[in-house]
Amino acid sequence: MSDNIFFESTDPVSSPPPSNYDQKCLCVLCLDTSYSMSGQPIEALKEGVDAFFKHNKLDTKARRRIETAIVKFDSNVSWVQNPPLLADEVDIEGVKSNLQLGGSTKLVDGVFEAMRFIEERKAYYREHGVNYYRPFIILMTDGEPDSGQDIMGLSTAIREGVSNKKFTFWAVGTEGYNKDVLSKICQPRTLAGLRYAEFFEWLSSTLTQVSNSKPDQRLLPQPTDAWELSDLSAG
Amino acid sequence: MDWKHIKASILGKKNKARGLPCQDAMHVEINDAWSLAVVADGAGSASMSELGSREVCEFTSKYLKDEVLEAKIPLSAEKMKNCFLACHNHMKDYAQRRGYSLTSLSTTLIVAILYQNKLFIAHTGDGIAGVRKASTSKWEMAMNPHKGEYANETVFITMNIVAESPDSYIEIREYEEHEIDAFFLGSDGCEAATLERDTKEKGRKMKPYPNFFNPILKKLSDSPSTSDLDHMWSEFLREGTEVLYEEDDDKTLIMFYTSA
Repeated sequence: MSDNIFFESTDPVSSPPPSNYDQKCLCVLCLDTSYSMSGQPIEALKEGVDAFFKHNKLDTKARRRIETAIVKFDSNVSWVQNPPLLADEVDIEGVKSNLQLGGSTKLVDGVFEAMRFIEERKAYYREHGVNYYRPFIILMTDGEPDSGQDIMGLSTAIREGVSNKKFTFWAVGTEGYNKDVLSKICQPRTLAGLRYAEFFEWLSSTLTQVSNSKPDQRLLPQPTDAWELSDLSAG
Repeated sequence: MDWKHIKASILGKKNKARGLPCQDAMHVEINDAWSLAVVADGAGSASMSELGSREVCEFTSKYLKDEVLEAKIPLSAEKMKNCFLACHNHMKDYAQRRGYSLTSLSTTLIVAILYQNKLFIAHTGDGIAGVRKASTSKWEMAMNPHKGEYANETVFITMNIVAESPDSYIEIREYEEHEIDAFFLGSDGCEAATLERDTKEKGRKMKPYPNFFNPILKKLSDSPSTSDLDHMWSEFLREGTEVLYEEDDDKTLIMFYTSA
Protein backbone atom coordinates (compact mmCIF):
# COMPACT_ATOMS: atom_id res chain seq x y z
CA MET A 1 0.00 0.00 0.00
CA SER A 2 2.96 2.27 0.67
CA ASP A 3 3.65 2.62 -3.05
CA ASN A 4 0.11 3.83 -3.69
CA ILE A 5 0.39 7.57 -4.28
CA PHE A 6 -3.25 8.19 -3.35
CA PHE A 7 -2.84 6.72 0.13
CA GLU A 8 0.02 9.12 0.68
CA SER A 9 -2.23 12.01 -0.29
CA THR A 10 -4.67 11.62 2.57
CA ASP A 11 -3.58 12.43 6.05
CA PRO A 12 -6.47 11.93 8.49
CA VAL A 13 -5.36 14.98 10.49
CA SER A 14 -5.18 17.47 7.65
CA SER A 15 -8.01 15.77 5.72
CA PRO A 16 -10.66 14.71 8.24
CA PRO A 17 -13.93 13.31 6.93
CA PRO A 18 -16.21 15.94 5.39
CA SER A 19 -18.60 17.54 7.84
CA ASN A 20 -22.12 16.09 8.19
CA TYR A 21 -21.65 13.65 5.35
CA ASP A 22 -23.95 11.08 6.92
CA GLN A 23 -27.66 10.87 6.35
CA LYS A 24 -29.69 11.11 9.52
CA CYS A 25 -32.27 8.70 10.89
CA LEU A 26 -34.38 10.58 13.43
CA CYS A 27 -36.31 8.68 16.09
CA VAL A 28 -38.62 10.48 18.51
CA LEU A 29 -39.55 8.46 21.58
CA CYS A 30 -42.85 9.69 22.97
CA LEU A 31 -43.07 8.21 26.47
CA ASP A 32 -45.86 8.05 29.01
CA THR A 33 -44.59 9.13 32.44
CA SER A 34 -47.93 9.36 34.22
CA TYR A 35 -48.11 8.17 37.85
CA SER A 36 -49.50 4.81 36.83
CA MET A 37 -46.03 3.99 35.50
CA SER A 38 -44.58 4.07 39.01
CA GLY A 39 -42.74 1.08 40.43
CA GLN A 40 -41.49 -1.67 38.17
CA PRO A 41 -42.76 -0.20 34.86
CA ILE A 42 -40.76 3.05 35.04
CA GLU A 43 -37.65 1.16 36.15
CA ALA A 44 -38.08 -1.25 33.24
CA LEU A 45 -38.62 1.67 30.87
CA LYS A 46 -35.39 3.31 32.06
CA GLU A 47 -33.52 0.04 31.58
CA GLY A 48 -35.02 -0.20 28.11
CA VAL A 49 -33.89 3.31 27.17
CA ASP A 50 -30.45 2.48 28.54
CA ALA A 51 -30.32 -0.67 26.38
CA PHE A 52 -31.50 1.34 23.36
CA PHE A 53 -28.67 3.87 23.53
CA LYS A 54 -26.07 1.20 24.20
CA HIS A 55 -27.33 -1.04 21.40
CA ASN A 56 -27.30 1.85 18.90
CA LYS A 57 -23.60 2.27 19.47
CA LEU A 58 -22.79 -1.25 18.35
CA ASP A 59 -23.00 -0.34 14.66
CA THR A 60 -20.53 2.24 13.35
CA LYS A 61 -22.89 3.81 10.86
CA ALA A 62 -25.92 3.68 13.13
CA ARG A 63 -24.11 5.54 15.89
CA ARG A 64 -23.40 8.39 13.48
CA ARG A 65 -26.74 8.39 11.74
CA ILE A 66 -29.41 7.76 14.39
CA GLU A 67 -30.61 10.88 16.15
CA THR A 68 -32.80 10.29 19.17
CA ALA A 69 -35.17 12.79 20.74
CA ILE A 70 -37.34 11.96 23.75
CA VAL A 71 -40.54 13.76 24.66
CA LYS A 72 -42.43 12.66 27.77
CA PHE A 73 -46.02 13.30 28.62
CA ASP A 74 -47.91 13.19 31.92
CA SER A 75 -49.84 16.25 33.17
CA ASN A 76 -47.46 18.21 30.96
CA VAL A 77 -45.43 17.64 27.83
CA SER A 78 -41.68 18.17 28.10
CA TRP A 79 -38.46 17.28 26.31
CA VAL A 80 -36.12 14.84 28.01
CA GLN A 81 -33.55 14.64 25.24
CA ASN A 82 -32.96 16.90 22.27
CA PRO A 83 -31.36 15.06 19.40
CA PRO A 84 -27.59 15.24 19.52
CA LEU A 85 -25.87 12.61 17.47
CA LEU A 86 -25.24 9.47 19.41
CA ALA A 87 -21.59 9.87 18.56
CA ASP A 88 -21.66 13.00 20.73
CA GLU A 89 -22.16 10.78 23.77
CA VAL A 90 -25.67 10.97 25.14
CA ASP A 91 -25.80 11.42 28.90
CA ILE A 92 -27.81 8.24 29.47
CA GLU A 93 -27.96 8.66 33.25
CA GLY A 94 -29.20 12.22 32.74
CA VAL A 95 -31.89 11.00 30.37
CA LYS A 96 -33.02 8.35 32.85
CA SER A 97 -33.17 10.79 35.74
CA ASN A 98 -35.26 13.14 33.61
CA LEU A 99 -37.89 10.44 33.16
CA GLN A 100 -39.67 11.55 36.32
CA LEU A 101 -43.28 10.69 36.88
CA GLY A 102 -45.99 13.29 37.19
CA GLY A 103 -49.76 13.18 37.05
CA SER A 104 -52.12 12.31 34.24
CA THR A 105 -51.77 11.37 30.55
CA LYS A 106 -51.59 14.19 27.99
CA LEU A 107 -50.88 11.60 25.32
CA VAL A 108 -52.46 13.51 22.45
CA ASP A 109 -50.44 16.66 23.19
CA GLY A 110 -47.28 14.57 23.48
CA VAL A 111 -47.69 12.97 20.06
CA PHE A 112 -48.58 16.28 18.42
CA GLU A 113 -45.41 17.76 19.92
CA ALA A 114 -43.38 14.86 18.45
CA MET A 115 -44.92 15.52 15.00
CA ARG A 116 -44.21 19.25 15.24
CA PHE A 117 -40.62 18.56 16.17
CA ILE A 118 -40.14 16.19 13.24
CA GLU A 119 -41.17 18.87 10.76
CA GLU A 120 -38.87 21.38 12.46
CA ARG A 121 -35.94 18.97 12.29
CA LYS A 122 -36.61 18.11 8.63
CA ALA A 123 -36.58 21.82 7.80
CA TYR A 124 -33.20 22.02 9.52
CA TYR A 125 -31.86 19.09 7.48
CA ARG A 126 -33.14 20.57 4.23
CA GLU A 127 -31.73 23.98 5.05
CA HIS A 128 -28.28 22.47 5.28
CA GLY A 129 -28.53 19.88 2.50
CA VAL A 130 -28.33 16.96 4.95
CA ASN A 131 -29.93 13.75 3.66
CA TYR A 132 -32.33 11.94 5.95
CA TYR A 133 -34.42 8.82 6.22
CA ARG A 134 -38.11 8.81 7.06
CA PRO A 135 -38.28 9.62 10.79
CA PHE A 136 -39.81 7.33 13.38
CA ILE A 137 -42.25 8.22 16.15
CA ILE A 138 -42.50 5.63 18.90
CA LEU A 139 -45.38 6.06 21.34
CA MET A 140 -45.37 4.06 24.58
CA THR A 141 -48.25 4.28 27.04
CA ASP A 142 -49.75 2.28 29.88
CA GLY A 143 -53.02 4.18 29.97
CA GLU A 144 -55.33 6.26 27.86
CA PRO A 145 -55.39 9.95 26.95
CA ASP A 146 -56.88 12.39 29.50
CA SER A 147 -60.51 13.17 28.78
CA GLY A 148 -61.09 16.20 26.62
CA GLN A 149 -58.08 15.52 24.38
CA ASP A 150 -58.61 15.49 20.62
CA ILE A 151 -58.36 11.75 20.00
CA MET A 152 -59.99 11.86 16.58
CA GLY A 153 -57.84 14.80 15.49
CA LEU A 154 -54.71 12.89 16.46
CA SER A 155 -55.95 9.77 14.70
CA THR A 156 -56.43 11.73 11.47
CA ALA A 157 -53.02 13.42 11.80
CA ILE A 158 -51.26 10.07 12.31
CA ARG A 159 -53.11 8.43 9.42
CA GLU A 160 -52.28 11.32 7.09
CA GLY A 161 -48.70 11.56 8.29
CA VAL A 162 -48.09 7.85 7.72
CA SER A 163 -49.83 7.69 4.33
CA ASN A 164 -47.97 10.81 3.14
CA LYS A 165 -44.72 9.18 4.32
CA LYS A 166 -44.01 12.02 6.73
CA PHE A 167 -43.01 9.54 9.40
CA THR A 168 -43.27 5.91 10.48
CA PHE A 169 -45.46 5.49 13.56
CA TRP A 170 -45.34 2.72 16.12
CA ALA A 171 -47.56 2.66 19.21
CA VAL A 172 -46.80 0.20 21.97
CA GLY A 173 -49.27 -0.34 24.80
CA THR A 174 -47.83 -1.57 28.05
CA GLU A 175 -49.53 -3.37 30.90
CA GLY A 176 -52.82 -1.70 31.80
CA TYR A 177 -53.23 0.39 28.63
CA ASN A 178 -56.67 0.88 27.19
CA LYS A 179 -56.52 -0.96 23.89
CA ASP A 180 -60.00 0.14 22.83
CA VAL A 181 -59.15 3.83 23.19
CA LEU A 182 -55.64 3.55 21.71
CA SER A 183 -57.06 1.60 18.76
CA LYS A 184 -59.13 4.67 17.90
CA ILE A 185 -55.86 6.56 17.41
CA CYS A 186 -53.68 3.96 15.71
CA GLN A 187 -53.00 0.23 15.56
CA PRO A 188 -51.19 -0.48 18.82
CA ARG A 189 -48.86 -3.37 19.56
CA THR A 190 -48.92 -4.81 23.06
CA LEU A 191 -45.76 -5.23 25.09
CA ALA A 192 -45.51 -8.61 26.79
CA GLY A 193 -45.05 -8.00 30.51
CA LEU A 194 -42.09 -5.76 31.28
CA ARG A 195 -40.10 -6.55 28.15
CA TYR A 196 -39.03 -2.95 27.62
CA ALA A 197 -35.41 -3.93 27.11
CA GLU A 198 -36.37 -6.44 24.42
CA PHE A 199 -38.54 -3.85 22.71
CA PHE A 200 -35.79 -1.21 22.69
CA GLU A 201 -33.22 -3.67 21.37
CA TRP A 202 -35.64 -4.50 18.58
CA LEU A 203 -36.12 -0.79 17.89
CA SER A 204 -32.38 -0.24 17.80
CA SER A 205 -31.94 -3.14 15.35
CA THR A 206 -34.69 -1.70 13.16
CA LEU A 207 -33.13 1.77 13.13
CA THR A 208 -29.70 0.27 12.48
CA GLN A 209 -31.12 -1.58 9.49
CA VAL A 210 -32.79 1.59 8.15
CA SER A 211 -29.73 3.75 8.73
CA ASN A 212 -27.64 1.28 6.69
CA SER A 213 -30.11 1.08 3.82
CA LYS A 214 -29.48 2.22 0.26
CA PRO A 215 -31.62 3.98 -2.33
CA ASP A 216 -34.75 2.08 -3.22
CA GLN A 217 -33.94 -0.74 -0.83
CA ARG A 218 -36.95 -2.55 0.55
CA LEU A 219 -36.54 -3.65 4.14
CA LEU A 220 -38.16 -6.59 5.81
CA PRO A 221 -39.40 -5.72 9.31
CA GLN A 222 -37.48 -7.28 12.15
CA PRO A 223 -39.46 -9.99 13.98
CA THR A 224 -41.28 -8.65 17.05
CA ASP A 225 -41.82 -11.91 18.90
CA ALA A 226 -39.15 -11.12 21.54
CA TRP A 227 -41.30 -8.37 23.01
CA GLU A 228 -44.78 -8.38 21.51
CA LEU A 229 -47.76 -10.02 23.17
CA SER A 230 -49.48 -11.72 20.28
CA ASP A 231 -53.21 -12.44 20.23
CA LEU A 232 -52.43 -16.14 20.46
CA SER A 233 -50.31 -15.81 23.57
CA ALA A 234 -52.88 -13.46 25.08
CA GLY A 235 -55.53 -16.09 24.54
CA MET B 1 -5.98 21.19 -23.37
CA ASP B 2 -4.09 18.15 -22.24
CA TRP B 3 -6.57 16.14 -20.20
CA LYS B 4 -5.70 13.04 -18.20
CA HIS B 5 -7.95 10.85 -16.16
CA ILE B 6 -8.13 8.15 -13.51
CA LYS B 7 -11.01 5.74 -13.16
CA ALA B 8 -12.16 2.84 -11.00
CA SER B 9 -15.34 0.97 -10.27
CA ILE B 10 -15.30 -1.45 -7.35
CA LEU B 11 -17.63 -4.01 -5.83
CA GLY B 12 -18.92 -2.92 -2.42
CA LYS B 13 -18.66 -5.03 0.71
CA LYS B 14 -22.42 -5.43 0.96
CA ASN B 15 -22.89 -6.90 -2.52
CA LYS B 16 -19.75 -9.00 -2.09
CA ALA B 17 -21.12 -10.54 1.12
CA ARG B 18 -24.33 -11.42 -0.67
CA GLY B 19 -22.48 -12.94 -3.60
CA LEU B 20 -23.80 -10.23 -5.91
CA PRO B 21 -21.81 -8.56 -8.70
CA CYS B 22 -20.91 -4.87 -8.78
CA GLN B 23 -24.06 -3.02 -9.81
CA ASP B 24 -22.15 0.09 -10.87
CA ALA B 25 -20.89 0.31 -14.45
CA MET B 26 -18.65 2.83 -16.20
CA HIS B 27 -17.26 3.55 -19.63
CA VAL B 28 -14.41 5.92 -20.49
CA GLU B 29 -13.13 6.60 -23.98
CA ILE B 30 -10.73 9.34 -25.07
CA ASN B 31 -8.99 10.44 -28.23
CA ASP B 32 -7.59 13.68 -29.60
CA ALA B 33 -11.00 15.07 -30.55
CA TRP B 34 -13.14 14.16 -27.58
CA SER B 35 -13.39 12.47 -24.18
CA LEU B 36 -16.44 10.57 -23.02
CA ALA B 37 -17.17 9.22 -19.52
CA VAL B 38 -20.31 7.43 -18.38
CA VAL B 39 -21.29 6.16 -14.92
CA ALA B 40 -24.42 4.12 -14.14
CA ASP B 41 -25.45 2.89 -10.69
CA GLY B 42 -27.84 -0.06 -10.71
CA ALA B 43 -30.48 -0.04 -7.96
CA GLY B 44 -29.70 -2.28 -4.99
CA SER B 45 -33.30 -3.47 -4.88
CA ALA B 46 -33.50 -4.39 -8.57
CA SER B 47 -32.73 -8.01 -9.36
CA MET B 48 -30.79 -7.43 -12.58
CA SER B 49 -29.57 -3.90 -12.12
CA GLU B 50 -26.00 -4.88 -13.03
CA LEU B 51 -27.33 -5.70 -16.51
CA GLY B 52 -29.23 -2.42 -16.55
CA SER B 53 -26.23 -0.31 -15.59
CA ARG B 54 -23.96 -2.03 -18.14
CA GLU B 55 -26.53 -1.69 -20.90
CA VAL B 56 -27.14 2.05 -20.35
CA CYS B 57 -23.38 2.66 -20.35
CA GLU B 58 -22.92 0.81 -23.62
CA PHE B 59 -25.97 2.29 -25.27
CA THR B 60 -25.23 5.87 -24.24
CA SER B 61 -21.61 5.68 -25.35
CA LYS B 62 -22.50 4.21 -28.73
CA TYR B 63 -25.36 6.66 -29.27
CA LEU B 64 -23.19 9.69 -28.52
CA LYS B 65 -20.35 8.45 -30.71
CA ASP B 66 -22.65 7.63 -33.64
CA GLU B 67 -24.90 10.67 -33.43
CA VAL B 68 -22.47 13.35 -32.29
CA LEU B 69 -18.79 12.67 -31.69
CA GLU B 70 -17.78 10.62 -34.71
CA ALA B 71 -20.29 12.41 -36.91
CA LYS B 72 -18.54 15.62 -35.80
CA ILE B 73 -21.86 17.28 -35.12
CA PRO B 74 -21.89 19.97 -32.41
CA LEU B 75 -23.32 18.81 -29.10
CA SER B 76 -26.15 20.76 -27.49
CA ALA B 77 -28.31 20.36 -24.40
CA GLU B 78 -31.14 19.30 -26.70
CA LYS B 79 -29.04 16.52 -28.25
CA MET B 80 -27.98 15.37 -24.81
CA LYS B 81 -31.59 15.23 -23.69
CA ASN B 82 -32.44 13.20 -26.80
CA CYS B 83 -29.64 10.80 -25.90
CA PHE B 84 -31.14 10.22 -22.44
CA LEU B 85 -34.63 9.75 -23.89
CA ALA B 86 -33.25 7.33 -26.48
CA CYS B 87 -31.56 5.45 -23.66
CA HIS B 88 -34.85 5.26 -21.74
CA ASN B 89 -36.64 3.93 -24.84
CA HIS B 90 -33.83 1.50 -25.56
CA MET B 91 -34.10 0.06 -22.04
CA LYS B 92 -37.83 -0.45 -22.54
CA ASP B 93 -37.14 -2.41 -25.75
CA TYR B 94 -34.26 -4.26 -24.15
CA ALA B 95 -36.46 -5.37 -21.23
CA GLN B 96 -39.32 -6.36 -23.51
CA ARG B 97 -37.13 -8.33 -25.92
CA ARG B 98 -35.67 -10.36 -23.08
CA GLY B 99 -38.85 -10.69 -21.05
CA TYR B 100 -37.44 -8.73 -18.09
CA SER B 101 -39.41 -6.22 -16.08
CA LEU B 102 -38.15 -2.69 -16.62
CA THR B 103 -37.95 -2.21 -12.83
CA SER B 104 -35.54 -5.12 -12.49
CA LEU B 105 -33.05 -3.14 -14.65
CA SER B 106 -33.35 0.13 -12.65
CA THR B 107 -30.24 2.29 -12.91
CA THR B 108 -29.10 5.89 -12.73
CA LEU B 109 -27.01 7.56 -15.47
CA ILE B 110 -24.33 10.29 -15.50
CA VAL B 111 -22.51 11.38 -18.67
CA ALA B 112 -19.58 13.79 -19.14
CA ILE B 113 -18.25 14.84 -22.55
CA LEU B 114 -15.32 17.06 -23.47
CA TYR B 115 -15.86 18.04 -27.07
CA GLN B 116 -15.31 21.09 -29.26
CA ASN B 117 -14.07 23.27 -26.37
CA LYS B 118 -17.07 22.49 -24.20
CA LEU B 119 -17.70 20.25 -21.24
CA PHE B 120 -21.19 18.77 -20.91
CA ILE B 121 -22.31 16.97 -17.76
CA ALA B 122 -25.78 15.39 -17.68
CA HIS B 123 -27.53 13.01 -15.34
CA THR B 124 -30.70 11.26 -14.23
CA GLY B 125 -30.90 10.01 -10.64
CA ASP B 126 -28.37 10.35 -7.87
CA GLY B 127 -24.59 10.16 -7.78
CA ILE B 128 -21.91 12.83 -7.82
CA ALA B 129 -20.36 15.20 -10.37
CA GLY B 130 -18.37 18.37 -9.87
CA VAL B 131 -16.00 20.77 -11.61
CA ARG B 132 -13.05 22.87 -10.45
CA LYS B 133 -12.93 26.39 -11.84
CA ALA B 134 -9.51 27.11 -13.34
CA SER B 135 -9.54 30.79 -12.38
CA THR B 136 -10.29 30.33 -8.68
CA SER B 137 -9.40 26.66 -8.04
CA LYS B 138 -12.81 26.41 -6.33
CA TRP B 139 -14.92 23.28 -6.65
CA GLU B 140 -18.62 23.33 -7.38
CA MET B 141 -21.30 20.75 -7.98
CA ALA B 142 -22.03 19.93 -11.62
CA MET B 143 -25.29 18.17 -10.83
CA ASN B 144 -28.13 18.31 -8.39
CA PRO B 145 -28.91 14.68 -7.58
CA HIS B 146 -32.52 13.63 -7.95
CA LYS B 147 -33.49 12.41 -4.53
CA GLY B 148 -36.79 11.66 -2.96
CA GLU B 149 -37.44 13.33 0.33
CA TYR B 150 -35.67 10.51 2.08
CA ALA B 151 -32.11 9.28 1.79
CA ASN B 152 -33.05 5.90 0.35
CA GLU B 153 -35.11 7.13 -2.61
CA THR B 154 -34.05 8.25 -6.10
CA VAL B 155 -35.05 8.33 -9.79
CA PHE B 156 -33.87 5.88 -12.46
CA ILE B 157 -33.43 6.36 -16.21
CA THR B 158 -35.71 3.35 -16.63
CA MET B 159 -38.67 5.13 -14.96
CA ASN B 160 -41.52 6.44 -17.08
CA ILE B 161 -41.44 9.81 -15.31
CA VAL B 162 -38.13 10.54 -17.08
CA ALA B 163 -39.83 10.39 -20.49
CA GLU B 164 -42.92 12.16 -19.18
CA SER B 165 -41.03 15.06 -17.57
CA PRO B 166 -37.56 15.12 -19.16
CA ASP B 167 -36.91 18.69 -18.07
CA SER B 168 -37.40 17.67 -14.44
CA TYR B 169 -35.38 14.46 -14.52
CA ILE B 170 -32.62 15.02 -17.07
CA GLU B 171 -30.29 17.74 -15.84
CA ILE B 172 -27.70 19.07 -18.29
CA ARG B 173 -24.91 21.53 -17.53
CA GLU B 174 -22.55 23.10 -20.04
CA TYR B 175 -19.15 24.69 -19.38
CA GLU B 176 -16.45 26.29 -21.51
CA GLU B 177 -13.58 23.83 -21.45
CA HIS B 178 -10.96 26.49 -20.70
CA GLU B 179 -12.83 27.54 -17.53
CA ILE B 180 -12.40 24.11 -15.95
CA ASP B 181 -9.16 22.44 -14.87
CA ALA B 182 -10.61 19.29 -13.25
CA PHE B 183 -13.92 17.47 -12.99
CA PHE B 184 -15.27 14.21 -11.63
CA LEU B 185 -18.29 11.96 -11.87
CA GLY B 186 -19.18 8.94 -9.77
CA SER B 187 -21.79 6.78 -8.11
CA ASP B 188 -23.49 7.64 -4.83
CA GLY B 189 -21.26 5.16 -2.99
CA CYS B 190 -18.63 7.91 -3.17
CA GLU B 191 -20.94 10.70 -2.01
CA ALA B 192 -20.16 10.52 1.71
CA ALA B 193 -16.39 10.67 1.18
CA THR B 194 -16.35 13.38 -1.46
CA LEU B 195 -19.05 15.93 -0.61
CA GLU B 196 -19.45 18.16 2.41
CA ARG B 197 -22.31 20.08 3.96
CA ASP B 198 -21.80 23.19 5.98
CA THR B 199 -24.42 23.41 8.70
CA LYS B 200 -22.92 26.58 10.16
CA GLU B 201 -24.25 28.64 7.31
CA LYS B 202 -27.88 28.56 6.24
CA GLY B 203 -28.89 27.74 2.70
CA ARG B 204 -25.59 26.16 1.76
CA LYS B 205 -26.08 22.79 0.16
CA MET B 206 -23.53 20.08 -0.39
CA LYS B 207 -20.43 20.78 -2.42
CA PRO B 208 -17.30 18.89 -3.41
CA TYR B 209 -14.99 18.47 -0.44
CA PRO B 210 -11.72 20.20 -1.36
CA ASN B 211 -9.75 18.25 1.26
CA PHE B 212 -10.63 15.09 -0.63
CA PHE B 213 -9.96 16.22 -4.19
CA ASN B 214 -7.12 18.74 -3.96
CA PRO B 215 -4.52 16.51 -2.28
CA ILE B 216 -5.22 13.85 -4.90
CA LEU B 217 -4.80 16.31 -7.76
CA LYS B 218 -1.59 17.57 -6.23
CA LYS B 219 -0.28 14.04 -5.91
CA LEU B 220 -1.18 13.35 -9.54
CA SER B 221 0.62 16.45 -10.76
CA ASP B 222 3.68 15.73 -8.56
CA SER B 223 3.98 12.08 -9.55
CA PRO B 224 5.66 10.86 -12.67
CA SER B 225 3.14 9.23 -14.93
CA THR B 226 2.64 5.59 -14.19
CA SER B 227 0.58 2.98 -15.94
CA ASP B 228 -0.72 1.67 -12.67
CA LEU B 229 -2.79 4.67 -11.64
CA ASP B 230 -6.18 3.05 -12.15
CA HIS B 231 -5.19 0.07 -10.01
CA MET B 232 -3.99 2.41 -7.25
CA TRP B 233 -7.18 4.41 -7.60
CA SER B 234 -9.36 1.35 -7.14
CA GLU B 235 -7.39 0.35 -4.02
CA PHE B 236 -7.84 3.87 -2.76
CA LEU B 237 -11.60 3.82 -3.36
CA ARG B 238 -11.77 0.58 -1.40
CA GLU B 239 -10.14 1.86 1.77
CA GLY B 240 -8.21 5.08 1.19
CA THR B 241 -10.07 7.18 3.74
CA GLU B 242 -12.07 6.34 6.83
CA VAL B 243 -15.32 7.13 5.05
CA LEU B 244 -14.44 5.17 1.90
CA TYR B 245 -13.47 2.22 4.06
CA GLU B 246 -16.75 2.28 5.97
CA GLU B 247 -18.89 2.69 2.87
CA ASP B 248 -20.10 -0.74 1.83
CA ASP B 249 -21.89 0.27 -1.38
CA ASP B 250 -20.32 -0.19 -4.82
CA LYS B 251 -18.07 2.78 -5.61
CA THR B 252 -17.23 4.31 -8.98
CA LEU B 253 -15.24 7.50 -9.40
CA ILE B 254 -13.76 8.97 -12.58
CA MET B 255 -11.65 12.11 -12.37
CA PHE B 256 -10.33 14.22 -15.24
CA TYR B 257 -7.58 16.77 -14.73
CA THR B 258 -5.33 18.90 -16.86
CA SER B 259 -1.62 18.56 -16.55
CA ALA B 260 -0.05 21.84 -15.53
